[in-house]
Amino acid sequence: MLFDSFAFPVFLIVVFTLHWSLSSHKARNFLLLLASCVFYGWWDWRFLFLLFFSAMIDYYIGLKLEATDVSSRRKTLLAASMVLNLGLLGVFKYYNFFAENFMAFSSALGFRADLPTLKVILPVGISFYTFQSLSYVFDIYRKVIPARRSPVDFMVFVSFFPHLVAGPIQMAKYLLPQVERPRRFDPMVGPEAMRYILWGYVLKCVVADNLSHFVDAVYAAPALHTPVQLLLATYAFAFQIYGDFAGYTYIALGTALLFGVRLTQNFNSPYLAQDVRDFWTRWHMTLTAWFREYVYIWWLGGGHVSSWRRVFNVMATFALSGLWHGAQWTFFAWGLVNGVLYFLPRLFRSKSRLAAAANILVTFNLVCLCWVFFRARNISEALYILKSIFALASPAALLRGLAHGPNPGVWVMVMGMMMFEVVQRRRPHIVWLEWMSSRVRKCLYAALLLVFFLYGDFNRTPFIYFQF
Amino acid sequence: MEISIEPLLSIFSSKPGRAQEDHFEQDKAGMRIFFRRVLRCLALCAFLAAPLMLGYILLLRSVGELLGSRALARLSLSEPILWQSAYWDSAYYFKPGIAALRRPRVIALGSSRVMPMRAEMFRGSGMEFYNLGRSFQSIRDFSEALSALEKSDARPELIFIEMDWWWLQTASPSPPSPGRWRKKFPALIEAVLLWRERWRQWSTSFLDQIQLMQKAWRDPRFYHALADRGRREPLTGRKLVGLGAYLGTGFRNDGSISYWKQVLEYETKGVDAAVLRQMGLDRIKKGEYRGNYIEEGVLGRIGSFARYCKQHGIRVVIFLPPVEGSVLSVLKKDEYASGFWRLLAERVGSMAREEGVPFFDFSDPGILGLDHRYFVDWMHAGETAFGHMLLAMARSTETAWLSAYVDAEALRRDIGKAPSTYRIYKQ
Repeated sequence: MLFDSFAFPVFLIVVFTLHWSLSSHKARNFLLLLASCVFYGWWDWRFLFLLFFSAMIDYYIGLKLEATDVSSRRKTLLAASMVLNLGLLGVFKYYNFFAENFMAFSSALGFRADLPTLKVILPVGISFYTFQSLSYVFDIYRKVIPARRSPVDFMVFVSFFPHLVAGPIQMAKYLLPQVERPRRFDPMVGPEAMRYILWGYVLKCVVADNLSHFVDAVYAAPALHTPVQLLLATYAFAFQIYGDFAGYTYIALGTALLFGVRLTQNFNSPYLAQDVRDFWTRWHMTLTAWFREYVYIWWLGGGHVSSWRRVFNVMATFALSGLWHGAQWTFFAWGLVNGVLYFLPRLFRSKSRLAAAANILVTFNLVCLCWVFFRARNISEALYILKSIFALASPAALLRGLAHGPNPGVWVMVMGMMMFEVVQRRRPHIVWLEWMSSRVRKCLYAALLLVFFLYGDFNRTPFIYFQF
Repeated sequence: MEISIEPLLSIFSSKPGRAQEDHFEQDKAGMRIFFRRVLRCLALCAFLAAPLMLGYILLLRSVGELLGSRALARLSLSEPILWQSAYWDSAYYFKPGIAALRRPRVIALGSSRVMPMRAEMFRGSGMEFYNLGRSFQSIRDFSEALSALEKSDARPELIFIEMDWWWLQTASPSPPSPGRWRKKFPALIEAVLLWRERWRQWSTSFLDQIQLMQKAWRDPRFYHALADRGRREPLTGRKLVGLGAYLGTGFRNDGSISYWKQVLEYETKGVDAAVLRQMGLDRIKKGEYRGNYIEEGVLGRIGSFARYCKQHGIRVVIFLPPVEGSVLSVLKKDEYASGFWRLLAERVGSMAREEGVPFFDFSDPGILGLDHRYFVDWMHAGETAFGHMLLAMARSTETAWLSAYVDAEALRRDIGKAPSTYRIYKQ
C-alpha cells in the first residue's frame, strides 16, 4: 500500500480508531502487527513470508545469543544471522549484478562463464527491514540490549507499517522500548502528527512528483538535451529526491506519532549544510547512523586508527552505503565520490552569514554533482552529463535556459520549501510549526491543503526509495 | 530452549487493572478529542479556501466544465452544441445519462471508431439516434449501458455494435483458458469483476475531475477559452461547451464526434497518407496488436448480449469498421497476428449466425472502395466512410428491415453531395 493511494487514509483511520479503542496494550500491538501485514501484503502477499522468515530467524538467534556466553558460539550465531539476512538481500538485490559483472569480467579475460540470472521481483523495503532486524542481533551480541521474549512485540518492531518500506531505519534500542511499553494517546501530539503528515504530502505530491516529469524526461535521454537542461534537471533531482524521501519520512513520522511511537528524524535541513561532512549528518540520518555504528566503528575500527586506515574506513563505509542503495556501479560511484568529498574542508571558515551562505551554495552544488551518479542509468551517462554541465558557457546561459526547465510554479514551491527550512532551523527544539500563532497556522494549513489539492500530482509516481 | 506463545495467547485473556482501565478510557476520550479537532480544523480550512475555490469552479462552469450529466443533457436537447471536457475522457461519464433523456430508437455501441455515426444518417427528427461510442471501457459495460436505458424506460429498438479487433485479441502464446476460480465460481467472479469495474470507473471519474481542477488553472488555453466565451465552432456554428471543444473536437447533440479542427485542416491543406499510416505502423512495430488467438470469453459475452437483446425485442447489427488498407495488410501478415486475422471474421460471423444477428465485415476498406482519404487516422474512418457502411447494410437483403430506420436513397444522395471525403453533412 502506498502512502499516496486512496486506500491509505481509509486504512489509517480504521487502524487508528481500532488501536485506541482496544483496552489492552498487547491487543494494540497485535492489531499493529496485523495492520502491518495488511499494509505490506497489499503489494504482494507472498513477500510477507520473506519478512516473517527474516524476522523470526533474528528473533530466534537473539534468544540463543542471550542464552550463551561462549564466544565461539556467539560468533557462530552472529555469523548465521548475517549470512541469512545479507544472503536474502544478496539473492534478491545483488545476485544479478554480480553475475552479470562476473560474466563481463570473464569475457574480458578471454574465457566464457555462463551464470544463470534470476527473474525475481525485489521485495519492497527489504533493505530497510533487513538492516533493522540485523541491528537487533548486533545489539544483543554487543550486550547493549537484552533479547526480547515476545514474538509479537518483536514483529511489530520489524514490521511497524509507517516505516516498514522506506525507513527511517530504527535501532532496536530506540524503537523496541516504545513498542513494549504501554502507549498513551496524547491529544496534544495529534496536531503535531497531522502537521508532519500534511507537510509530507506536500513535499511528495507537490514538490517531488511535479519535478519528476522534467527530471525523468531529461535523464531518460541526456544526449537530446542541452547542458542547461541537464544542469536544471540535476538541481531539480536534488529537490525531487529530498521532497520524495523527506516527504515519505514526514508521513511516516506523523503516522507513527498517531500510535504513540516517536520515530527518529531522518533529515535536518540537509541542503543547508556547509560542507559535505555536515551534509551527511543531516541526510538520511538513520542510515548514516547505522553504517557509522555497525560498519565504520564496530567492524572497521572507526577513527581511532592510523590516518590512512581512517581514510580507508570512511571510503569503505561510503562505498557500502552506496551499494546499499542499489546493485549498480552508479550507486557505488556515488558512494565513493561522497567519500572523497567528505574530506574536503569547509571553503570559508568565517562565521559570518555571507560565508555561511557561500558554504551552503558550494556544498549544495557538490552534492548535486554527486546526485548525477545517483540518478544516471550508467557511469558513461553520468560522465557525459557532468562533462556537459561543466561545458556550460555562463550563468547567463543558465538564466536563459530556465524557460526550458520545469514549470516555474514548481520552483516557487521549492523556494517555499527551502525558506520554511531556513526559518524552522532558526528555532531549534521547538515543536514543528508551534512557533506560529494558532491563527497563522490555520491559514497556513488552508494554504497548504489548497496547494496540495491544486498542485499535487496524483498520478502516483512511486517513492524513489521504494526501489531500495 | 522453548519459545513461549503465551504472549500471543495472553492478548485474548488478560484483563487490565483498574488504573489501566482508566488509562484506556482516557485514550479513547483523547482520540475523540483529536478527531473533533481535526474535523474543526478541516472545516476551518475549507471555509478559508472556499471563496477561491468557488470562484474557480464558477469560471470552469462558465466554459462548460464541471457540468453534471443532466445539465449537459438539457443543453444537448436545447440547441446544437459541441461538448468535450478537457483532460479526461468524459464520454463514458456523460453519454449514458444524455441517452436516457433523449430516448433514442437506435443506438451505436463501440469505441471511438464508431463515433462518426450520426443522427442525420437515420430517419426522423434527429432524436431517434444516439451514439454511445466510447461510453464504455469493457464489454461488461454494454449490459450496464442497456440496463441504464431500460431503467429510464428508454429501451432502444436497434443497436449497432461496432467491434474492435483488439477486444478479441489476446497476447498469450497459446489459446487462453478461463482461470481456475472463474471455472468454479463464474457468477461470483463476474460479480466481483463488475464491482471492481464500477469502483474503477467511479474512482477514475472522481480523479479526473480533480485532475481537471488541477490542470485548468495552469493551462493558458483555459484563459483563452474564458476570453472567448460564447465562441462558436467555425464549420457549423455550434455552441462550444467544455475546454476540449474549444481545442478542436467535440460531441454533437446525438453523441457523434466532430473532429472539426482536423477536418478543416485536411480539407484545406490535404493529408499526407504516409503520416496517416505511420502511427499505426509504429504501434505494430512496438508490439501492439499481437496475439494469434481469439478471446472466446469476450466473444461469448458479446453473444450473450446479442441474445439478451433479441429476447427483449431489440434488433442487433454487428460490424467491423475499416482499418486503413496498407496498415491492415501489415497486420494480416504479421507473424504474431496473422492467425488471429484469419480467424476473426469467421469466428465473429459464426457467433453472429448462432445468435441470429446480422454481421458485416468492413475491416478491409477495399470492400467499399475507401482509400486513405476517408480516414481521420489509420484506424478511425470518417463520417463519409460510415455513410457508405450504413448504405451497404441498408441495401443488404439480410437487413432489409433497416429501411424502417435508414432512408437508403436519401443517404445515397447525401453522400453524393458530400463536401469532402471526410464529412457528409455541413452541420
